[in-house]
Amino acid sequence: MTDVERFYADHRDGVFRYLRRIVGGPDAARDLTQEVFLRVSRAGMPDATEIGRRAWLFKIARNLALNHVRNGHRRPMPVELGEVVVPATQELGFAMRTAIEALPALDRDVFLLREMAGLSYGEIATACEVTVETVRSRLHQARQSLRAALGPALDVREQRGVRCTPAPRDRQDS
Amino acid sequence: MDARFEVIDAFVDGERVDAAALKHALSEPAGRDYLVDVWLLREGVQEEMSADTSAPPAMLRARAPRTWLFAAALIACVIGGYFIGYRVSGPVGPQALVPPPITTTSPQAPAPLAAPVPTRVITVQFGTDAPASGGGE
Repeated sequence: MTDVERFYADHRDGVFRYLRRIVGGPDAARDLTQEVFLRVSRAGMPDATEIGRRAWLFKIARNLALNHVRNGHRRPMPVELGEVVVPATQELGFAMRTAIEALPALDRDVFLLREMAGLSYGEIATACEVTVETVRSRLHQARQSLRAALGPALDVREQRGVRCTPAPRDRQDS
Repeated sequence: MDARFEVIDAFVDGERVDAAALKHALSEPAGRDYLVDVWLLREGVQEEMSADTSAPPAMLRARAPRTWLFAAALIACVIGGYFIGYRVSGPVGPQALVPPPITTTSPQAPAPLAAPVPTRVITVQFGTDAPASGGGE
């Protein structure tokens, strides 16, 4: 197995999950995931640590996703975050999806790269071309917004109990 | 936006944080509420992720085999169609394409045309009436 193939096997799920939330449909996300790794294979693996490579990979994915959205392949959500008030009985997954889509673009990217792909703050900063401080504040802002939007659904969830859930990459690393 | 609890986010995300700042944030009831909500949010995201059934293809070069498979299926259809057609309607080739000979009875050929009999004969004699001098006088 070559470096690129190993890299693909390790990260395709994370890239796909991230792209899926940015571009919407699974078909487009699958095509873009392929495109990301085609670019990786054409460019060759950078001479960097695994962390640097991951940040580089998601930078490619993010740029492709932004181009895809910019080219009008996905309509922007017509709702404002304030309108996304979720009834307590509504399924959290659906409510979560809607609320995430209503986040400002950078907040959403930072949140998804952390929660879906499991990138560290440093990796997210590289992928999004911002500072670690910006990542820290945007992530907090995104969580505050989601918390406000999902309040009733989170209250219902809280009654079932809570457990310490690591992000995807944290789980793999540990 | 209230940034007091950013330290809680960083702690939950596995980043190194200032212990005193974390203690201070968690000393507030709102901070503890926030900590629980961050975990709940993450749980919700994990559930959302598990709904992703459309995983990307297993191989990086999945596009190329798909094209080859399509081409191979097309060729197989063409060849299969030819043989099925061959079995059903017999060989297809120059022999089958030649139309059967058509036999027709041609009418009796007419006799060669005979020249008509002359009714009078005109004889032309040269030099009998012409003036001896000739010319234009």
